[in-house]
Amino acid sequence: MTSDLSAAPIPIERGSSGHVPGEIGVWVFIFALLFVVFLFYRGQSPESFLASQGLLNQHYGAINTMLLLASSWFVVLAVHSARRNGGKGMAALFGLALLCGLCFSVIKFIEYAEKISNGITLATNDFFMYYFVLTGIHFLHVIIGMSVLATMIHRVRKGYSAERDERLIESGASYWHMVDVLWIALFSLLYLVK
Amino acid sequence: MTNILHLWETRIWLVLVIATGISWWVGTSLSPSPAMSHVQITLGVLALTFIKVWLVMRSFMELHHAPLALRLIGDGWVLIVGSLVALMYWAGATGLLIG
Repeated sequence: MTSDLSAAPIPIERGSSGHVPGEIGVWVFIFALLFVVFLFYRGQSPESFLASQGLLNQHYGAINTMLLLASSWFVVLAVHSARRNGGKGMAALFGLALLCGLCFSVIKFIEYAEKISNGITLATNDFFMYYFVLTGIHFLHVIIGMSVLATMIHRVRKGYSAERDERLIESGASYWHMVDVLWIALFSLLYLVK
Repeated sequence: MTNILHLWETRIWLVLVIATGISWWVGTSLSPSPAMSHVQITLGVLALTFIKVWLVMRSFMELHHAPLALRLIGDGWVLIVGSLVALMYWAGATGLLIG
């Protein structure tokens, strides 16, 4: 047990099971409410919402879904390795998940930049208000999730110890899967629902 | 390597990828026809979406190993939110929410 790990409380506390799952519980309920509210307002102006949706790049949305699905799979493999394989390759697998998260972020930036440079912002209309707010809140969670992944990589890169690391790994993995779940729903509601 | 491919979760991931591909195609390229309206197509996409959510929760998040109470809460959330979403969409698509 190296002493420098215990001298870095803030990143580790982010991933501790006392903090992350509670936040996920709150956001899951908030997002569920936002989905229903979004569809309510969509139902009041379906043509406007449909026309605005036509301006979204569905390929970016689908690629981002595939990236988060892959990243969740890498996280599953990492946890599996912790349980069955003494943590062999864990840091690399979390690293691949983090890489997927980074690619997601780059595509998000490109998407936002394209919209904004075409004069489309969250003030443009109701659809784009929901688009920017929902994907923006989700994106914040992606960033938090990536910092949790980075924390887990740092923790296990010199070896995994169940006694020391299991709680962080399991709660961090859960957080990342929730980020994936929320995007699966968002992708459908914003990009695909007609 | 073959161990990874034989993992249950790897198979679930492949199902998720295929399901995403199907909903992507259905949501972007499938045109309404006399046999299938855009409402029915979208309800199909929504059903597929919540099946995907349920699969991630059950498999990746290991709810199938969790105590019954947690499993029921997870399944319940998917069912309730999925139904509310489908209902609200349908109400909007059939003009019930306009003025």
